[in-house]
Amino acid sequence: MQTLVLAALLLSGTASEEHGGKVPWIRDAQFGLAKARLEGRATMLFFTADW
Amino acid sequence: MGAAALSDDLVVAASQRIVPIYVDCTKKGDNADLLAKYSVRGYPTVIYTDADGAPLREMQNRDAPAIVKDIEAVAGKVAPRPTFWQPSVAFARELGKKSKKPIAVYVVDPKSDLAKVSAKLAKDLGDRKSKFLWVLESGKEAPAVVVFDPKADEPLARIAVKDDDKADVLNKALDEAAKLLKK
Repeated sequence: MQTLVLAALLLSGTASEEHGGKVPWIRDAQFGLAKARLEGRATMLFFTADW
Repeated sequence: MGAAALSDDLVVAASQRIVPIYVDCTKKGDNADLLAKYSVRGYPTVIYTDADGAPLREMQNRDAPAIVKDIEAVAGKVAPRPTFWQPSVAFARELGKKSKKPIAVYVVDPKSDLAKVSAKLAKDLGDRKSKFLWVLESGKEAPAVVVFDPKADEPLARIAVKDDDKADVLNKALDEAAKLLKK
């Protein structure tokens, strides 16, 4: 049970990384921009809408 | 942007050099500040920025080789800042398989002051900064540290972090989690 909870924390929408052959998109833009500033990395902002 | 380009191995690999941010504008009003700041007038639009969010260029050609070229160009323009954070869990996993170090994902509230969190950790962790591969993530169950073996999907431990905890509480829990790593 504990393992399931832990895995859920890491793999649910709360954790921003996607794994396995995909670009690891961060879906909280403000967090992503703050992370880029902290780590000194450029960003790629992908603006999209699902209509 | 085509799905095929996004799943291209070269694009996925190149994306480790930058912070890829998915800005969902499906709901009217969502991310309005960013749409205005970057003068976005249609979807999809891809804007590359420096580490401080200043726009560098807009993606024109959306095939995989062009995207890789764009990423390399913008990444090359940004001077890296000293940090112990790894770009992503996927990157840390590959590194961890070679170095046999455990991965520690620090889950923060997305509204946290990341510089403050990072500075406190840098001070408190001592040599655990280099004994673990650290990745910064956002999550609702923050703050917490999830430790896992780079060769396994199941975490070794989840450590709840309290703001008023003394450094040795987290450090002790990290040391215990590291012992669970299979040799």
